[in-house]
Amino acid sequence: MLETIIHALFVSFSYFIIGYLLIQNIIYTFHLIFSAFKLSHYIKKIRYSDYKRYLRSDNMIPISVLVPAYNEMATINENITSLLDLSYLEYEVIIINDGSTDDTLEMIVSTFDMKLVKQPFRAILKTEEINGIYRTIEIPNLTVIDKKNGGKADALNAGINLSKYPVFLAVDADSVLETDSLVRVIMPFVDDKDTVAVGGIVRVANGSEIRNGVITNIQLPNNNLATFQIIEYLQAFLTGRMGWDALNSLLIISGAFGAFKKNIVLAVGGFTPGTLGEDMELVLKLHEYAGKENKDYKIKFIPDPVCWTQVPQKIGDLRRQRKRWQIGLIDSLLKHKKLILNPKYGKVGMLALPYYLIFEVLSPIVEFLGYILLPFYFILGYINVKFFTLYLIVTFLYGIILSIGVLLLEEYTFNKYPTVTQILKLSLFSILTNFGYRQMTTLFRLEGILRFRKDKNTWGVIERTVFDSGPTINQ
Amino acid sequence: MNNLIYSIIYTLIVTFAVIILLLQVYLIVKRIIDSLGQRKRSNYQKSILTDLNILIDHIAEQFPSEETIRSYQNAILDKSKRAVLEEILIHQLESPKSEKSINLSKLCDHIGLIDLEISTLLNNKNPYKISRSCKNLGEYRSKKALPAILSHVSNNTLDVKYNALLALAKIGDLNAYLDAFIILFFESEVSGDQIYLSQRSMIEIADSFEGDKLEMYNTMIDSNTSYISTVFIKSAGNYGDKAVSEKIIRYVKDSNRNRRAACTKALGQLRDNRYINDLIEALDDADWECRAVAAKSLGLIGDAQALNALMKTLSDKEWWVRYNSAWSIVQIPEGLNLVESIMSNDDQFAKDIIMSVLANSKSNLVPLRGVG
Repeated sequence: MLETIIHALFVSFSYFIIGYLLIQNIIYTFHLIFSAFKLSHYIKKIRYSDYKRYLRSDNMIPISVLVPAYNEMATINENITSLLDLSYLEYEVIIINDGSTDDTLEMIVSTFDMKLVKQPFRAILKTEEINGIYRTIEIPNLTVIDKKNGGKADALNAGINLSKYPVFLAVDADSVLETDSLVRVIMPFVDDKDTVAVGGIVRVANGSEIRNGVITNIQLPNNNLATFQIIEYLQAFLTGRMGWDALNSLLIISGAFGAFKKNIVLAVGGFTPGTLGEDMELVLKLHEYAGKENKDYKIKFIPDPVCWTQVPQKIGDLRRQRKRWQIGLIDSLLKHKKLILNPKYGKVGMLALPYYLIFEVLSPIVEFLGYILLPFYFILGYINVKFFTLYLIVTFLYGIILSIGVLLLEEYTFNKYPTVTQILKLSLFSILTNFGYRQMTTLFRLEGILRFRKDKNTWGVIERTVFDSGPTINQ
Repeated sequence: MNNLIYSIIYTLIVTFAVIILLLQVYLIVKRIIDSLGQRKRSNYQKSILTDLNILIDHIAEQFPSEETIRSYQNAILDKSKRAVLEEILIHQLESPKSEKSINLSKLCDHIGLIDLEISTLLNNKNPYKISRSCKNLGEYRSKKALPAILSHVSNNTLDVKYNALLALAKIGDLNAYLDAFIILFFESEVSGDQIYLSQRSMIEIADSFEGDKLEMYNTMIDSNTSYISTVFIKSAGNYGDKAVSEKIIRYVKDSNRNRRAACTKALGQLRDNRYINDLIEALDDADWECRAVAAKSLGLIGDAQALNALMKTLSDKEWWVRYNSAWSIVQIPEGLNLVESIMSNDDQFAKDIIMSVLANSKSNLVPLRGVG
């Protein structure tokens, strides 16, 4: 009797896991299809759009580029050089040194010959203490804020306080931007006055040649971990974000590259300090605010490859990053739980948030149990070979199709990896990513769930490699 | 039942495997085809570039022969070669109106590029192709294409509308351009909807007009639609010719806040000190954005008459008004003499804002944007 009950439980649980994974993959498929349509429209449009005219245009909205920096000595100078070289008529660059313990500030001050100035500004958002503001006559649109450590969100808030333009762009210190990135990110604000935020795609810079802060030759990394992340980032951005953008329910704008209307961000109190997912947290606040105030608003995503960043090349770094992302996700969802299944918030409340809760927060648990229990049940004979084969198809084969589908999207749209060799390598990795890499990241995300309470406020450190004039080092 | 499950699973495996294989093959084949296409374009470009550059350099003095034109007529029948020719010719047409660009435009017509684009406008329903053709016809500055372009101004797709209007602006025919705005206005009246193109897009279109700009501003600034009027006032400010000031000044007390602000801003951009008293009066506007723009404009004009009024607005309740007033005081040469009295005043807001402006003064040579 007991054995029958256990058998029934195991089989039911197996059905649940397969059903869950199948629904998850079907949702990913829908994302892929929505994204394909949106990207097709976007690509056709940019083929005849003339961005060059906007580079010189007086009608573009001026932008403040905010760069929070904590112990970024390795890459900060290249980053600043790249930012100062962007093609845009009017913008400012504000670097916020968030209490670095290395020589980040000293490097910037000496390289760019900056001087401490007495500049009062409106501290609308409360932040940690500002130690000083640095400027230079030679580069009028560059400002450095030195402040007491308060975290990324706090640093961004300090930057917002000092910024003078109506739109700001939050950029990571290790990001490299394409020269026309500001024009591309501002266009949704120009095209539609209801746009309050725009997210951009983040591409993997590892392996590419970067000279004076500009990507000159896009290559695939020699590091396998970084190559897997290319597939993963394409999947997350080209399908996930584009898919939600198609439904006007985007919940995440990457902290590495996100533009916001300043007055709306001030209205919601800026970034929330002490949170690991400050990017998602702010977007949820914007959704909540707009829903409460019954305002027309849009949060957009631009798929142009305009921002390149370093991804972790060591398993330890990747683990810290994925754990942090998972914790940030849970934290943000808990803070805004009243939006979930709340019809007042439209598709965000009824579709996007429940999806994130069920298929992003809980998926590491379900996937992990599937990887362990189903083979175990199969070995013990609780499930038969047909059932187990079905599980393998849903998990692995379906996953491979989605990965290759994403690659096809990239090939058809921006085609940043144009050679046959690169395509062959990426095809291989898009298959292999489902055998080992995905399982590893599932474990890291699971760790994030288990350690949520303990590690809620810990950022961790990821090793940066220096951008070189030739192929990057540490390959 | 078991057999059914077996066959479902078998079918699933085979289907998925086939899909994966086909996708992979498609990926690789597409890449190879694209590479070959790219090579073909590159080879064609290498083969024609030298001769074409010589032809373009001398086109003002000597129009190409019939034989040369025929060779290009044959070339454009091939899609890759047409793309190469389009790119080179359009790039050359970017320079302002000259004998060279007029003849280049004529060459594009003789080759058949313009007729191809017009045919797309008339026969194709694809909005992307229509937008692209409008854009190209604008680059060619082809008056022949005006009726075809005008027919798409009322297209439901915003992109098409935008590119059609932009093309008309580049071609520079004032009558066609005004007709387009009549169509837009009529459309919005009938549908009851606003004109959906964003204001910045509209300003871009206005700024791009290559015909008689003064005549355009004189006509459009008085448009019945305040939205269009505001756009052209802003564009007139960008254009910078004081001749439009007399048209613009009539709206400095307009009931429409946007038009009022646009007028105030444009007068500042035009640096026309004939209307300085009107701008000083605008510092008392009920709307803070209008006050802020007025403060900024007075600084741009740089007339010391405004200083007393600007000193008062240093204590305005809105930060932007205070900042722009302080900036303007610092811009006006005599204004710097007042800084000491401001600093010895009790008004903390005034002191803070002047200090902020002074700290930025070397670098902040243009007024703060974000307002107006």
